Amino acid sequence: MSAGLLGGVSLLASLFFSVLGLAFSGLAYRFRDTRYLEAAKRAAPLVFAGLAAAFLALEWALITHDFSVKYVALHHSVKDPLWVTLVTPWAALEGSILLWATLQSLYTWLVSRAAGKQLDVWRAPIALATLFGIQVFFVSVMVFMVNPFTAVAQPPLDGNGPNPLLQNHWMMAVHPVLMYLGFVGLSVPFAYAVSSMVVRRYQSWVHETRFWTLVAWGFLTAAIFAGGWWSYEVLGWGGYWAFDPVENASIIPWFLATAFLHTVQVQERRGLFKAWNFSFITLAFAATVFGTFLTRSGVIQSVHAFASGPIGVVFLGFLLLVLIVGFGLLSKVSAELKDAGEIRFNSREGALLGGALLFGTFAFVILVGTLWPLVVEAASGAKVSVGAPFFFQVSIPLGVALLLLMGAGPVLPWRNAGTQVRRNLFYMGLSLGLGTGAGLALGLSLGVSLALGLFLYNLAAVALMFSQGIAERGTSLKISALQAFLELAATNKRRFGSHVVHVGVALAGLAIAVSQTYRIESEKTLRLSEVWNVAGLEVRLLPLTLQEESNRQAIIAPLKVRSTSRLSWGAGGSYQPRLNFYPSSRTPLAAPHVRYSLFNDYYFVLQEFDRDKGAWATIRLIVTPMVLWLWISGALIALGTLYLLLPNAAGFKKGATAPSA
Amino acid sequence: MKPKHLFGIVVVVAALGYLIFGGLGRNLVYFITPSEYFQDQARYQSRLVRLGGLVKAGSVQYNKETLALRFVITDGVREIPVSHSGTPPALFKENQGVVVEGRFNGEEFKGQELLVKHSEDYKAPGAGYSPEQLKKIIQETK
Repeated sequence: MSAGLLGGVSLLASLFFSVLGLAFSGLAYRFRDTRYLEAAKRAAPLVFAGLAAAFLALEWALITHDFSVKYVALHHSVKDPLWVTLVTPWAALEGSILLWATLQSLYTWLVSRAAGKQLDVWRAPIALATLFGIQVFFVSVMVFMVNPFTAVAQPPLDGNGPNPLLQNHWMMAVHPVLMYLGFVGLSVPFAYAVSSMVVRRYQSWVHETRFWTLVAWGFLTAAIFAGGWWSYEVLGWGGYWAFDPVENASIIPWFLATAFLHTVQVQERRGLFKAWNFSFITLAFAATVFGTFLTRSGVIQSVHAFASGPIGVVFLGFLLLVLIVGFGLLSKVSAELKDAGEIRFNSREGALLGGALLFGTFAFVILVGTLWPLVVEAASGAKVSVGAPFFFQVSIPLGVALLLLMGAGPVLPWRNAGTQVRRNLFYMGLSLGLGTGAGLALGLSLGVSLALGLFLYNLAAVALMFSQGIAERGTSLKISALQAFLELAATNKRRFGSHVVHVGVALAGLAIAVSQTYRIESEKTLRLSEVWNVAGLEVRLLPLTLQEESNRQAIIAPLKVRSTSRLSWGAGGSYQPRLNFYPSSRTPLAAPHVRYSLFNDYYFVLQEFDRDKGAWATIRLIVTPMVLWLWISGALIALGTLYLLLPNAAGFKKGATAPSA
Repeated sequence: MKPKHLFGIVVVVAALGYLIFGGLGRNLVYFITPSEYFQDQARYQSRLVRLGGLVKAGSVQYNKETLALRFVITDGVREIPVSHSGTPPALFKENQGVVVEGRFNGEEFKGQELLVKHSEDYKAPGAGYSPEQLKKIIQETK
């Protein structure tokens, strides 16, 4: 049996089992019969098995160079190294939809396994029906529109290989998978929300939904940082974020999921904000579908320029369906969702709502900016693009407000603020003032000084909360501070994890402000052994070399760099910026050589070289401070999220007995 | 609804409206061709625009020492001289399409960025170097 045949059959089988699962879930709901529910649950692993088999069949076809499969012929070459071959399934549309559907079925399977414990027999059929419905959509798109196993009548001897940009950095093996795990993961909270609206139980869904949202959010966050890293290390422009439509498509669901993660705590604790939670989670899932529509339909011009096709229309329809289901149900039950409780603005719940509204606003502003070119073109026919300055301009006030709330919110107690809180807020305000003042005194720009102040303000908030918690426990139980700290860290994972995430976000804010403000760029054509004095460095060009690799050729311009000032400490040594020539691409791709140091990054790009004699090369140097800290902040956020998700016996019991309104 | 809530909402909505629509108006980057520019010169003067067209044959001058790049962009009807500082990207060739982001400065267009698309669909190399040619070039450089 050929890989193509196996893949095609597996896809059909998974479509069949998805429809079966959907039908059984529907019957289980209609007749309130757990036997149908059991049948639906059994369909979930079968769908996963079918899609996993299809995915492996695609890998098999790639590894065995089976060019009778069109996808392999278009996106693979016998010269590809093994790791490139293994990541080729998500190098183009058909394969990435297959990966998407496979991960979706994995989530569905995990939910079906959890259905006994997490979901009661009333909600489980609806949650599973929603997930099977999404599954049917994705598998149908593959079977009927973008089949990865379409055959070629006359297979070529070799193919083009995947997009050179994807072969240039190993991060491409990681970033898309994380992104899909995040995007797809948001379907589970949506399914849970739909099920609780259908069966009209508005409280119990939030605990398990918070868990699933946190899982998806963690992957999404990691994916966004990984994408920034990839952009920085590969694209050669020295930046990590440009508010490109594709990047916006990933950040909009992130903001909405973040908003949900904040308001959901108020519902867990006080039973308020039910309607907000349903709305945020519906919007977050809809935003992932919208992002797919945006990037796959070609309606918006983007540097990423994915292949366009009829698939856009289908995704638009699916987006409308998601919104209609989510908000249709919400409007039906809205009369039962009235909040019975007062919210003070100077309380934890007030700060959480404020934060969620800021996140929602952020998502909305980025959505408007992304779609505005369509509005202008429809209205006046002019072709426009919205520049990155717009996004930065709106991000700064929103970012500052968020960082302010992020520090104050966790310090504020539930319901009402007391005296100790006022003292804490005073110390935090003092840190903010001192940090900003110190920044200005050092001659930093206002924005960077404010970012520094906000970072210290947030550190102060976390430090105060830690130290007071430790002191309280230490004195009441008469144990040492260290023991108190370890016990708190072990028993109150939720609080400590969120502190770690918040410190990561505050650090990211500082790193973004500094790296966006103080960036030096310089470009020069160097002759062999000519010395270039720039940014506290002495740069010398050594003879160019050619390197042969299986899938490409590379021109390397070795640079000998000596640091001549204290600021550039650690930047010395040799650099190998290169231009990679791929047979499938007319344009050589620059692979910059980056060296991170605690303060500055030194980023050398080979722009052009003497093709006749190799006597000169044009080199670009970009010096950006604190980018390393941005990656560290990403790691902190990921670790904090992981810590939040670790099973916690004490915390779980506490969550399970939280008051239900 | 209490008056103070209403007041708060009005303030927030107004601030948001200003932030979005004030910011959008100033930061719209128009995409135009040379002919469109000459239809309404005043409108595009000294604001960021994207100028698209073909690189006119024989007009490219590049000084690798000063990194000064000059060329003429044309849409077959009208032409505009462009100056830019930096290495031309590899896809930049005579008679090829190009999009330059920058500002008009009198008669001349000062480019800040030459835009090249990263495409997921690629064609077999046409005018570029074949691996054999490339190898030859490099071997001769040593």
